[in-house]
Amino acid sequence: MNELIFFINKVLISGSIIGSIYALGAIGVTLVFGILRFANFSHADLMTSGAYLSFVFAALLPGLGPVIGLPTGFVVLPLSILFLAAFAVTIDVMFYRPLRKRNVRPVMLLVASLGVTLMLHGVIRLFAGTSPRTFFAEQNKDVFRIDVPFETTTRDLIISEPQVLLIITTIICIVSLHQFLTRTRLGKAMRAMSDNSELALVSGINTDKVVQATWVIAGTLAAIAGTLLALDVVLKPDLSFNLLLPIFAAAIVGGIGRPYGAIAGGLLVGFSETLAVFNWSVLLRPFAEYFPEWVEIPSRLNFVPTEYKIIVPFVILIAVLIWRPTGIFRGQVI
Amino acid sequence: MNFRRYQREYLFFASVGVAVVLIVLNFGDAYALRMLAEAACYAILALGLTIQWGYAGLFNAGGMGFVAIGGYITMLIAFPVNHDFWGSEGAAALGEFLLEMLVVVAVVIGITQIHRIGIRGKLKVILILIALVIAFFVFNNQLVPVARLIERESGFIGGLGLPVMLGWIAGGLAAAFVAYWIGKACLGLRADYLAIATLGIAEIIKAILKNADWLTRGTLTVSPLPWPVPTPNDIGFVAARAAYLALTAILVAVLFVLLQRAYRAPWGRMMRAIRDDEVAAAAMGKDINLRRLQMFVLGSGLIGFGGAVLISFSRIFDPSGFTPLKHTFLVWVMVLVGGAANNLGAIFGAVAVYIIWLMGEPIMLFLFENVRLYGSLWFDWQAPDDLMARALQARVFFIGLTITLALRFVPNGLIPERIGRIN
Amino acid sequence: MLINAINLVAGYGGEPVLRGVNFAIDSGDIGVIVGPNGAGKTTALKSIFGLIRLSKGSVQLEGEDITNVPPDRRVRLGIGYVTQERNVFPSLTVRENLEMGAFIRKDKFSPVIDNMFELFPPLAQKADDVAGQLSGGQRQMVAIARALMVSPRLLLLDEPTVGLSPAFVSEIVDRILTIARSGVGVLIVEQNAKRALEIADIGFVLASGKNLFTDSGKNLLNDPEVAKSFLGG
Ligand SMILES: Nc1ncnc2c1ncn2[C@@H]1O[C@H](COP(=O)(O)OP(=O)(O)OP(=O)(O)O)[C@@H](O)[C@H]1O
Ligand SMILES: [Mg+2]
Repeated sequence: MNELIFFINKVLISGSIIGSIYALGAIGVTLVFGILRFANFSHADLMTSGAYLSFVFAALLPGLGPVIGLPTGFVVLPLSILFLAAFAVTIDVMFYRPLRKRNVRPVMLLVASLGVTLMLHGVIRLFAGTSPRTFFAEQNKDVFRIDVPFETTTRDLIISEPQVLLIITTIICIVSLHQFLTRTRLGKAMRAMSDNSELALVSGINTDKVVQATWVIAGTLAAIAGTLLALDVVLKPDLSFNLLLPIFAAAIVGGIGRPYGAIAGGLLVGFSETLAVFNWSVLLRPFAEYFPEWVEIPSRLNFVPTEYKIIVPFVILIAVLIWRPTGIFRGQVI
Repeated sequence: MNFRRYQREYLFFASVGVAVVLIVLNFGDAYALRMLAEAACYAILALGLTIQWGYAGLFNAGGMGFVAIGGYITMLIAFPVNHDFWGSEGAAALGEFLLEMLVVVAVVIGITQIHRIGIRGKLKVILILIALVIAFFVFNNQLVPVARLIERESGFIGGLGLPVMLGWIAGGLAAAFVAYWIGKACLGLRADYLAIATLGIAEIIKAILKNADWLTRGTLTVSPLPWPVPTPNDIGFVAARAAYLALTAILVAVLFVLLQRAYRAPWGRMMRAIRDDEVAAAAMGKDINLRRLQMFVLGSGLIGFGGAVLISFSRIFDPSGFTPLKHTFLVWVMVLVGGAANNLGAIFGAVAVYIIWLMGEPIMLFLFENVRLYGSLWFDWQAPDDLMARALQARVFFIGLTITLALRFVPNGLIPERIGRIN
Repeated sequence: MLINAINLVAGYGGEPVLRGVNFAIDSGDIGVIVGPNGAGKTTALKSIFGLIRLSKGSVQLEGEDITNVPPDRRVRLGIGYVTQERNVFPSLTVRENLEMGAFIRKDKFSPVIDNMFELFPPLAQKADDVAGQLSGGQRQMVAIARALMVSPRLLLLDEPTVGLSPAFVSEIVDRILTIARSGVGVLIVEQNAKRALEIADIGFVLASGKNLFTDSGKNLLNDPEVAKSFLGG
């Protein structure tokens, strides 16, 4: 039974954590892709910026967390969301809108987003350096150990406070996004523009406003995902490209322009990663006696060594591009 | 070639010339020669990217990966033979492993032909997927002990001790080979998908080279890489670098002439037609994806080749030294600033941007030394210890800024494509 | 005049597609633009709606110059436009499609939606179906209804009956007549020239970006030259 608990800790819990992060990132990417028609390479750095914003706010208001009883980095999240959303809109006005007005090919916007991501890179490194930082220098990270009521188990299910917060926040985000997209006029206009932007213009939809709303949502989700990821692991500046690939893979698996697809894609990529790096010999060892003599269970038995984890989203991405480029949920853009 | 028509070109190249003279005077000729030799290597990379982006409108965000392949293959081919390895059990184990893999591959290929015995559709896809997963599982778990054995006994497998030039060519071919498979999967789709896939493959290649110590010595690095011309140890820095520069300059010139001819030939005209109006070109019955694949493979091959030349010049194979910034985005800036669909523009961009990039280092240090000084004088500000390191890291900001500014204000680059005048 | 487009010159970067064309119709009138493929009919509607920039000429709506007004503002001024292709939002429901048509309305528009369901009864049953799954004719109805949601003064229709079965064609034509009778000016581009000119108060025959003939529908139908070259004899 201990092995099973180990499996749950390592695969189910870790998988849903990282899957939630990917899902939140992928929603942002897929909305921008659906509406502005380009793969936003700066999204991962937007997430990192969000995490650093939270770090700054947490440093400015250190007493806030203990008062409420939650990690300070989480409590200041509304502030970072506000700033990052405004920041995302500003970036659009400064770097993307002028190109859009010139009616350039969408891939030019992709190049511009590369430029933006490099600038964010530079700014973060200049102000924060490259060394990792933690949100929990002055506050303890609560870890919940849940005892499993079986006689044979000695291990506990382990989940940390930031992880619980992440899962709850993700669910809240998804539900509110769903409400927004299906109930509000602006949300429906977003779906409409993602369907057919020229027709949206012809219908009199204020496309500038829709674009702004898209960036606000992308910024909001980026701030949440970035901060919660940093709370769970550590805060460091070079997440960028390692995060970008799984997020894109998730968005494409789900179908571009399909937020629900992005959620499914994020979880799929997250679980695939944890399953792929999981050491399967742990699960086989209890059955060692049933194997023939000459079979020796190696100490490590995994699909992909942890160092090569990035192969997993890549393989998923390529497989989808070959077999079903519109993704599971039949996305708009191919 | 009259002066008025090519005024722009003369002007820009003349200013590069002036910059080089200033650098020779300030930093000495060994430094200037190193800079120019590296710039020439970058010119090859920029030409490769120009083929992809400028001629064909393909977005390759994985330059680093192809540079790394080129660099690794050169090391493998040209680095002296590691006799320890060939005499050890590791060699035999590796041979055995390769044979096993041959069997695995044969089985997988067999399963892809399973429709011949009547199994098709979903079932076939599922079987293939299962086979692939199992094959990968076997591959991964068989490789680990072999790799450990090699690492323990002899460090790494070493090189083959063959001529360097052969390594460069093989490096280009290997990069082209990888590009072929990526291109096949992505080229029928939007440009964005190729960008994402190339970004991914670059990171994967780097991860492999960094972690497969039995192939690359990983973080221990491999040096000194051999040169096709006498090395500094033989004839001193200035002469050796001058020789290397001469060689790379000749390479750039030859590539330039060849590409220029291809550009004017019907083939080049067709490529431009596809880039500018895909629909019309498709209507003319061109197989667009095939043409694009050609361009992508050719461009990536050149990038691999250029990478091989660049890494050889540095004399050290260090997998951690491959960074998206230096080997992907710097080249992008060169092409965007120089002029996307213009070989001359790419070469100009490579040299000019590389000079600016290198000069950015002392400039940033100078600036931030002052920031530290006046910050503490005027505001009593205690600068962080790593301020200088941060300042250098922050150069990436200017790379990004240049990209966005170039897109906005000189969308065709400083030396734009000369359609119509070219014939 | 409800709409007066004077001497339009416009194109897509290269040679101009429209080389000085004129259109004018009154409220409640049906104007029909006919002409061979590639004559510039769609381009003409786009210019009137402001989707492409004019290099020469002007557009006036009830005497007011709107040449430089962007398209979304023209919707507010009361111009509805149904494009030739891709004219519904496929992943939105029929009702949501209509709501998008009413995006600029600040008032309660559910009565307007009910009016549309009255005008196009087949849509009422499909109100909560996704538009991408409708038949071609139903989709065309959604598109027209969407454009009518702002209660426009002028309705631009680009080939509203193309590819529809005869029953649907009569139904759509019928609706267009109803719409015009309510005082809306309608400018239609049509392939099926004969049928369109029958209901036209005024017809414009376009070829190579120029007005070839402009006359009442009846006169054009009876004009032997028009008949010879555009109505298939
Ligand atoms: N987006 C565009 N970019 C460039 N050229 C265009 C574009 N749209 C149309 N054209 C060109 O403009 C000309 C007129 O096109 P337009 O669509 O106005 O014709 P049309 O009369 O509506 O034809 P049809 O009856 O086939 O709909 C054609 O030669 C076409 O090639
Ligand atoms: Mg048309």
